[in-house]
Amino acid sequence: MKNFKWILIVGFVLIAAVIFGYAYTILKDRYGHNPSGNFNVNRVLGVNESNSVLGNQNGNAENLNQNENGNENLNQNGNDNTGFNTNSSDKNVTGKDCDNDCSRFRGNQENYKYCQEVCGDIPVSKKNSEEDCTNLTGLEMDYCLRDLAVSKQDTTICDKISDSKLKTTCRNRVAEELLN
Amino acid sequence: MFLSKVLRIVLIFFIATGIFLGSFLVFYSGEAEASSITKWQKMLERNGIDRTLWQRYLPKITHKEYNKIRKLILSGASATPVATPAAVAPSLGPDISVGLWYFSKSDTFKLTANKGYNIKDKDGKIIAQVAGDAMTKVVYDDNGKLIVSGSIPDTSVDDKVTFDASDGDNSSIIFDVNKPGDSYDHFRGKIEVNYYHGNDIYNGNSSNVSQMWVINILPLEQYVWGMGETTGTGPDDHVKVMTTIFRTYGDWYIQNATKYKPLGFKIRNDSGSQIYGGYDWEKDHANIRKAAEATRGQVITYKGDVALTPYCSYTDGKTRDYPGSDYPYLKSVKDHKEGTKKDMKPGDNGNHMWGLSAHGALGYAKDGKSWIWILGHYYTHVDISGIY
Repeated sequence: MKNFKWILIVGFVLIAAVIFGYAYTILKDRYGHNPSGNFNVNRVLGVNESNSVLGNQNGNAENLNQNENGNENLNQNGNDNTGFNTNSSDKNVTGKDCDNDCSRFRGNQENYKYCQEVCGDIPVSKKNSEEDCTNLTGLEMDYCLRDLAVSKQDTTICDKISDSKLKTTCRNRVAEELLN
Repeated sequence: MFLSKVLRIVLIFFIATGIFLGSFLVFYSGEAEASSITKWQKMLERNGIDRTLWQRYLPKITHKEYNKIRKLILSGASATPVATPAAVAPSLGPDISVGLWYFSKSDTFKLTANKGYNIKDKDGKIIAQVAGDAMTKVVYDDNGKLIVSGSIPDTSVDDKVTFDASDGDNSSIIFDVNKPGDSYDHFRGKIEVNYYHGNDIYNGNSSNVSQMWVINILPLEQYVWGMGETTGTGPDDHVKVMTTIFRTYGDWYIQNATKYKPLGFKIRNDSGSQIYGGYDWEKDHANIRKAAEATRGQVITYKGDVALTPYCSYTDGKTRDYPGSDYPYLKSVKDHKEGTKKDMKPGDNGNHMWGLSAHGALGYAKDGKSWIWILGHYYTHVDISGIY
């Protein structure tokens, strides 16, 4: 009988845990942080599915998976291991932020500058060699490397940038230079 | 006796907890069901798709339903709210901002339109609504401000002034921007004048300049109609190749370009980006619009992202690998003999030899190759996908 009691209690705890777990996911979905917007793609309607007429020779399954995961990409933050004094969600610069002149970040000077650098609001300053960047750290070094890459029109310099969004901006910006 | 008492307590506790959790679940499941926005619904909302097209699938839009809506839109339904089903029109795509030219502090910008237009300040507030044939002038004032005059009494505005259709239909308005010394000066969509002071980004030097930029903002499709990179006189498949590339190139700039952001636009209208002649060019080269309409919304993508699609006039017999590994679809491939100039070197006359060779593509089209085959030949392992 004693064993039966314990089975009942354990069973109760397990059932309660499952129910609370379920309730938690509902509440999290409802009230949890839900970032909106996307730096790069904010309007493409599932571009890589049935309306594709060429067929990617790398395999459609991979592409479909990439496409279905597109929304998850919205939540990706850059590499935050840059000595930047804030949490990663504060840095989640979206395309909307670029359209709004980074107004959301004006309260924080560092975040504001980061947003402006990602969005291209601050013109690139000419750099002559990597030595121009050697004494810098964190994002300041990334900004400098981006400027150097653009000045040299050398996309391989972008690979040295730590922050993923700045790296992307750098590659795109160098492409603009090369095609100009 | 003791055990049965304990069991009774446990039982009562179970029942009470069950009632509590049951009520909790019923309440929150209902609430959550009503607010359970799936990622597919979020994508529809983010893309500005008219709610009436997907409301019937609520409260939970699945991937399957999302695809149904997508197919509906691709079949011609408008992605934006419309007054009646009869008013459904094909999407013209996202807006692109094109830098047309800049004028100096001593110059005067003049503009008229084919119908009534708004004059708006930098915050989008309407300063005035004027008749299409009323000429508006913009000159530099001082301290970064502009003066708008002519059609209205002299009015000082901040560093930006915008012109768009006063009836709200920007798809049919055509502005005459009176560009000095240029007969291609009629443009669809909106016109902006934007004051810029800073490094001379446009000409690539570090001296400080003041420039009043004239910018054309219009949907991507209408931009493609006015592309001055081709006359559209080749085989249909060649024109389709070119319009698909122009659209893709423009879309890549919309999504990724930052160089000219301080000046107020995404892309140049000359060979520094791709040549855009606007409405005058469109009128004189009707085949471009025809091919653009036949390929409406189709862009080249690589793994779901819009591709970078450089193109040139000729090669020396083969295209070149694009530097680095960021664009693996820009591989060296053999060019058609019609696109080959043996003595040419990469860089000669702006022929970087990356991506597609326009004359080579013409040769393949004359050989009977389809536009899809030609794009697949020059851009390795890409897809062609409809984005609207």
